[in-house]
Amino acid sequence: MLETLQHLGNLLNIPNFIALLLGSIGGIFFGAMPGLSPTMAVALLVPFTFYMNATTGLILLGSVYTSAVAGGAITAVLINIPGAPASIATMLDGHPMAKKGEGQQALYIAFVGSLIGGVCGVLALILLTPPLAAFAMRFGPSELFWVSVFGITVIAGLSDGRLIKGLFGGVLGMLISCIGYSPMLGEPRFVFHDTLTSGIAMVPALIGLFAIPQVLDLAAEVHLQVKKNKYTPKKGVFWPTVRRFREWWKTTVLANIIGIIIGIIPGAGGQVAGLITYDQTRKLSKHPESFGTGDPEGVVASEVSNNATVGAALIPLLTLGIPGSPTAAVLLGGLLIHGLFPGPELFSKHADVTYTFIAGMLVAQFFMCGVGLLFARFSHAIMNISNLIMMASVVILAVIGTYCVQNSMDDVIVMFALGLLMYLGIKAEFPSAPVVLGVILGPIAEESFLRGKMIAETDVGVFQYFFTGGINLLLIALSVGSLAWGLYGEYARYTKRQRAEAACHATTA
Amino acid sequence: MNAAKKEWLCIAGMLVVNAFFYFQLPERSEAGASLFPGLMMLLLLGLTAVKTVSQLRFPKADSGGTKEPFPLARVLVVVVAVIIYIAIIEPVGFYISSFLFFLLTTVAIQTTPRTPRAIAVRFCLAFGFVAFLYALFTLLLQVQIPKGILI
Amino acid sequence: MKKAILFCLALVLLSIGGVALAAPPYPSSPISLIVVYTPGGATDFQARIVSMPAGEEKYFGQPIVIVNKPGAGGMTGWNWCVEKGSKDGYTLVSYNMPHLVAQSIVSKPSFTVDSFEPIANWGADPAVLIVPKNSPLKTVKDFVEYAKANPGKVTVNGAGLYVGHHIATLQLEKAAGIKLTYIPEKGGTDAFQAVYSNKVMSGFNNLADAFRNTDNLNILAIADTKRHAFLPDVPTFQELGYDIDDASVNYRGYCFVKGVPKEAIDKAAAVAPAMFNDPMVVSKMKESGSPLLVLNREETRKMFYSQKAKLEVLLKDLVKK
Repeated sequence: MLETLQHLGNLLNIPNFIALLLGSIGGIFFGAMPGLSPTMAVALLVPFTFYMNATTGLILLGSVYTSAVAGGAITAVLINIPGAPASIATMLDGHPMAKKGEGQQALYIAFVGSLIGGVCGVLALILLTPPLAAFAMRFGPSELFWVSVFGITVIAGLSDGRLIKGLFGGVLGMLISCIGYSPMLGEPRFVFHDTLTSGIAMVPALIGLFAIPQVLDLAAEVHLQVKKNKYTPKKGVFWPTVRRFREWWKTTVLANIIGIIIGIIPGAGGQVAGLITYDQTRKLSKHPESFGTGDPEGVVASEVSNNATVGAALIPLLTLGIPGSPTAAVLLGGLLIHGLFPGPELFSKHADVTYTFIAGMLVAQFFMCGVGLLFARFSHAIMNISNLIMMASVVILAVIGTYCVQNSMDDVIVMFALGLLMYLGIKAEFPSAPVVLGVILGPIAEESFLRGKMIAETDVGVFQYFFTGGINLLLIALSVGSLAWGLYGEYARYTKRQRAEAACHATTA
Repeated sequence: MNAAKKEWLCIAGMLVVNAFFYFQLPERSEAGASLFPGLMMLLLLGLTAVKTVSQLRFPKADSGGTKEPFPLARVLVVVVAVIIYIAIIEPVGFYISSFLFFLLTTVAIQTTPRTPRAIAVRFCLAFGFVAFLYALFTLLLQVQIPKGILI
Repeated sequence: MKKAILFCLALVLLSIGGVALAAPPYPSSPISLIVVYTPGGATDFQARIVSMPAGEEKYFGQPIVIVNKPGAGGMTGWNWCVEKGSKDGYTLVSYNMPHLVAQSIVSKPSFTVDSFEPIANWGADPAVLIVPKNSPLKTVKDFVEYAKANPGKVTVNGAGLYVGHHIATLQLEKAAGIKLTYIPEKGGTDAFQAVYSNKVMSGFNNLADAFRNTDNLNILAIADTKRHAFLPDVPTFQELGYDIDDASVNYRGYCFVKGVPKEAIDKAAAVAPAMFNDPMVVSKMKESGSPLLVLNREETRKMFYSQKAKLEVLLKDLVKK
């Protein structure tokens, strides 16, 4: 802690300060554009850091990372398209808020929440690194498998009352993630067309499943332009909104805990943390039905959690060279290029660089919040853009964003095909969030299961491997609990609806 | 169409998805590679069955009320436009195709009058947007974008 | 009127001739380098380091821009290069030996070693056998004895299927007559984590990554024909009596797809080795712990085919029908 404070002063020299500022602004911008994810933003900037000194380069990459994760909330709230995978859960309550005219409040909540989560994540990095790093090391294939199962139980909750269709979508998502070459065994599966040899990457799937249906909806509603509300900026909304955080303290604490833990687990990252927290918050809330209709607590849950993963993902990265999230993996490349090898050396020989970087990450949270809040003040301008223009712009951004992930036009074709199919699905009342969750978690579940099986077969046997061990049992208990509660909630909702419909028929009959 | 018919159409769709993946399943060469997809497909089939039973026992009722007619033509135009856009990106170049897509599609489906002035404004908007993307991606970030014969 | 037309014609002919004569030498615009792995990985950042000075006149005179095309362990990218990549000389490809050969033998991609024209080699990352710091297996002898006593129970991981690490494992099995269980991981760093935390008993991994992490693990031996400068105390398998050569060494370098104009090939082959030996590249590679081994075109071509021969023998049991 002390060292970080000592190095705080270093941030005031010009290059570092500029890196912080530009990184935050650029990061929010990147995160906001549908199609450009935090991972890609950091990847695109790594080559530029070659020409800078190590500290400045790392501060730039770090502030872009954290701001991009937060920036995704902008498009999630305003146009119902997640700017980053981490913002999927933000969209579920954020956009309804925007439609009600509360978009500005939603964005204020998102950024203040991101600030809180981000600061807590970095504090975990500063204060709790040794125990958390040791904890991260205890996650092997079996533990990771149960984490993914836990993530999958969230699908039931995201089905918005249409349980069977939601589960179908989730399973379909996992099946879709199998398309391509099996990562463990190198066999091609479901590759019925050339475009699919490299499988379906997450960002093109995300863009396709959310952006394309939204685009087609915009196209269908072009004529509604005339009746559309003119959104106006509201004065004096900021402080009342911030004060409400006091009533959301429980959600904030939960979100921080979940975010930090998922952040340090190698492999998972912001994408799943937001969704898991959202789902758990809803399950534990006294008014679960309000989620999905514009309950600000949903936004709090998602944004606090996904920014907490940023600081946490750096813990295993800096101590062991093992990235806690895909974006952290790209950061690893950035570190290595400057000759900074993760490990104790980073904190002794290169202490100057490292502690300045960590201090930078802390301050970056405030910059990110500041830029975001400024933006939120003027967000009404985006809400007022006509459906027509929005539709065309989103298509172009979706195409370029998808292309940039793997420099592949094939991805663009797959993206659009998936989008069309999802559009039909949505018209048939299939919810889209479970499908994406399936695509994200499918590979993690399959690989960790197969790998665990291979190891277990040489050792204690599959059953014992997966069903013993403190963390395993805890995760299994959480998964069963989450699934049971979710199913019960759905069943209760379902019977309530049946009863209501029967009563309606009775009165009209 | 009423709600019940829609649900059956839905179930039909689910069966199509099931069949589609079933015919694509690789031969059982390596047990490992087919394990997970196989499991998923079983789940898919199971869910379809549950849905069918559920629809038979508790048929979905109409929600009533009138709905606006669905603007099929407009949506189809957009779908076709995007397909053509994606197809011409590589030969013609990303920026030119984006510009054309933006201008032509928005003019084609707009419901407000197509005055020359409105079209001119749209032209400038399209140009500006594409120019902005060019500045960002090609100049600033130096990302490789499909060039085609033009730009 | 006729005079005007004649004049115009002459002008046109002259300018065409002028353009042909003044055709800009290769390269006249930036060159793309296709890296078939994800950004941030070992191949990616090594490629970035060695391509940094390309803009200088004495090398290419034009910058080299990295384009990532990851997927299927590299197969996706290499397939793309051979099927859809341009052959005008402005698209360099980064290769990884033995991945390229192994994939063309075991899977059915659109390429083979013969589809590529080697230019120059920059790195050679041998595989090393690592065990967790507190492992009871302290030498290769311990390892082999344990494996003989417990066939199939010793877990060895590596950064994927049919990559150098896997090949080293197969070679060790053959040379020592033991049966191991190979666990493919998603990447080098994932493989390390599993070894540190004792989830697997041992692993083969890159020398570059292992030597930075000696606090957490023990390096038992190196799968190469000679010891390495970064780890002078680590013996080779050959010294210890196990016949493992350098078939698993991860060679990386530039190549072109066959069919590229001769001018481009000659120019690239001439400047690339010099560029790899540029002092700035040498120091940055050393800083990031990446072993540098510069080979020119002929040496690289020889390496391509000698590795291919070795791997064909080793992998022939695994060839899919």
